[in-house]
Amino acid sequence: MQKIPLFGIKVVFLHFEKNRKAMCQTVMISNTVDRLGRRSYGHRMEVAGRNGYSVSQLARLNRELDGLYELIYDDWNTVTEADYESFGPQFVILLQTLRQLYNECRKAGDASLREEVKKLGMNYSALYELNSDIVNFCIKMPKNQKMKQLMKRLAEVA
Amino acid sequence: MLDDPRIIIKLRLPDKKHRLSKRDGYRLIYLVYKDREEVVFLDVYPKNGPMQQLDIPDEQVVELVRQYIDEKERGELIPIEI
Repeated sequence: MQKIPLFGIKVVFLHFEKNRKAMCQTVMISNTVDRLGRRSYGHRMEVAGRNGYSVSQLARLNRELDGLYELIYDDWNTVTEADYESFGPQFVILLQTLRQLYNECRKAGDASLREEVKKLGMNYSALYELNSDIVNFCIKMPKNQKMKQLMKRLAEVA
Repeated sequence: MLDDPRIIIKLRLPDKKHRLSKRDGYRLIYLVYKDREEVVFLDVYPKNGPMQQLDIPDEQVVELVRQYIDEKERGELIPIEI
């Protein structure tokens, strides 16, 4: 009977665990982005329709956006192009909706919303930056031919 | 650029003067040599305020590295011991 090296199994298992964790994380991000996108759109409609939109609703949305930021920020520099394909388009839509919600809230001019609207602006700005960092540093930069040439030039002058 | 002996890092820094967290403070862009003890300061900008910059496109990072190489070739840079 052939002996199976345990170390090999451990490595395969760890590799599987790592991939599974990355996949779960991507699915979780995708689901959260999708949910918050729909919720933000609903909030935007409420603000635009002057349907008694309350500060507690916006505060809750801000807390969830904070959570989304933490979720993505933890692993943003390991996001692959395939990962981004699964949540990127929804993320861009979420950003557009948040921007529209921010503008609607400002237009509504409700003084009780002021602090939360400011937080919404900060959240939009933070998520916008995170999306740009993923696109620029994780997806575009490794493929940027000019950067590759510069890195070669850098090795020569170093 | 993870397989390259040099890596470009974007670091989030807090702005204590204006009580801003790392998320809303300054951004520091620098280049690190993984094979020797050397870091190169490339750029710094605020995330908020009148001079705010929301993000940094890849072409701008390319330009920063190009400037650094040009200045290094011309011998215009001063090494600082940290």
